[in-house]
Amino acid sequence: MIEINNLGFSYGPKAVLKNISMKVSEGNIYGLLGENGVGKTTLLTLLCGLKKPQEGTISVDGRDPFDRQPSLLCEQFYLPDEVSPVHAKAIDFAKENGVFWPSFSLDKFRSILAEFEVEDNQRMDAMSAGQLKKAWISFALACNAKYYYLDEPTNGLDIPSKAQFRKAVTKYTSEDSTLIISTHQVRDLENIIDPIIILDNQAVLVNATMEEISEKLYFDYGTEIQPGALYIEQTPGGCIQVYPNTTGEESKVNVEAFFNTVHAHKDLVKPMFNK
Amino acid sequence: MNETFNFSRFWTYFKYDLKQMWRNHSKAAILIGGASAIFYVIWLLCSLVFAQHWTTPPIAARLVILILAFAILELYQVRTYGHLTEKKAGSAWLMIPASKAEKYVSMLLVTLVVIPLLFFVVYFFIDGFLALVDPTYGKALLTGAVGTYKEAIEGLSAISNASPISISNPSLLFYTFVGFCCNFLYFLLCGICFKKNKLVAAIAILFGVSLLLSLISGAFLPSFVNNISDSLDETQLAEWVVRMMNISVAVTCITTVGLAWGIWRRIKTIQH
Repeated sequence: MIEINNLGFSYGPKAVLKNISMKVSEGNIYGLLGENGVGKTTLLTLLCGLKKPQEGTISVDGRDPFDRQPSLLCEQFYLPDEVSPVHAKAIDFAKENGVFWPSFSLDKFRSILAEFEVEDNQRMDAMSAGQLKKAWISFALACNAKYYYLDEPTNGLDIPSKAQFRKAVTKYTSEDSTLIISTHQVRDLENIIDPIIILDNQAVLVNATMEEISEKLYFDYGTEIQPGALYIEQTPGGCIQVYPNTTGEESKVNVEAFFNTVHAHKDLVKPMFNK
Repeated sequence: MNETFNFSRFWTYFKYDLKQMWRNHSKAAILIGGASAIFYVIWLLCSLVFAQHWTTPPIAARLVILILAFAILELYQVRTYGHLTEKKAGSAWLMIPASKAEKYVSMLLVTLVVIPLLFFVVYFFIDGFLALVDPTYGKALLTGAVGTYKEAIEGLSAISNASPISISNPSLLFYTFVGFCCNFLYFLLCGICFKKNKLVAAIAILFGVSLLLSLISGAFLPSFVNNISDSLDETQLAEWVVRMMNISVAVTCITTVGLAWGIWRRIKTIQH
């Protein structure tokens, strides 16, 4: 369990995160959404211990991540947006680094890499950006960590690789694993992320499961425009409309439409999910 | 799980660190270690081209090259762990599941033992090989170095015998070792502190400190030395020299400890 209490972080005079409090429960794949510059990457780096909170506390199973204790480091994996090119073959990199994660599986690494159609004896410094990202994703998932912090994991991946990524995440992470995935590519991941966290300037707007979202908001994919819609987006076959769910009827959540609804009606939507 | 220092985990990490060092820096260390061979070839070519006869570098020039190569190796320490300040590589390093103490000890061992050892092995092997195959090359530096060290000890013994304060052979060896540690740690610390222009920044600070110390010593030392050389006899002068040497050793030791502490602080507090 990850507990964040009154977290604050600034870059010089510019406050990025302010008074953030939330709980992240185990066994879920969280989607961390937000506009550019709202602090998604900062939050992930604070969670994994790369940065020290300037205000408030973070507790991961009772431990402070900035202490960078080996027992916590071997239970987590942080995958940055831009990964480091290593001067080694992918398989050698995996063998050398995998020894630090007790549950690391070399066979799993090979399997995931094969699914991504990347050869394990290829040098990582000779790989394209997409291939390099796939090698790092394969290594991360092969570590069998308890906590994953993935920053824009689908950036740089081609269309088939995005599907392979979704498949790998669902197939190769255990039920106890908690993933926090920061992304702008919500369509790439909307079938796997649940719950959703939406960060806004210095605050958490929403931290809700798909079920909760569906309970509060109705996603209408019809062609008839509803007068009380909070958000309307024209699509080739009709439109997507979002409005408060007053009937209790279930609907399929469209994450992008949900994000845009929250963004357009912060004052209205935030209280709905903070009750 | 021991969160501070676990020998098994340290050994795993140290092997990993050695592999990284070998992969990323062994070529440079070997190249610097091969300076004697490079210098020998250049000298030989120049003598053949300009003087039309076979001449090998004199021992004084070879010693200068050894000192220069070692100085370059010292400067190179800004690069050995310089990647720690890079966002991508530095983040990956911080996230490796080993404790800060284990990473720190490994870093010191690689910097102070492994890299200099690799350099000296390569340097003296090439130099010895050249001495073996070319009779005009002269004696190997390693045999000469032992002789030079003995002479230095004898010289110090003469001062020490004349002084009531003694100076022992191990203290010279210790002084040499601490001095070399101090230099290596200084460049290592600059390498992990500065994000850009690491070498320029390190040299600029060194230059600034040297200038400041020269100004201070230049203001007080000449009159002080004149006074004591006039008023002291030979025994007292020898005692004074030994005392100054001991002060110098103490200052170097304190600086080395300070640098080692600085590196530890940096590892503890580095953020990305």
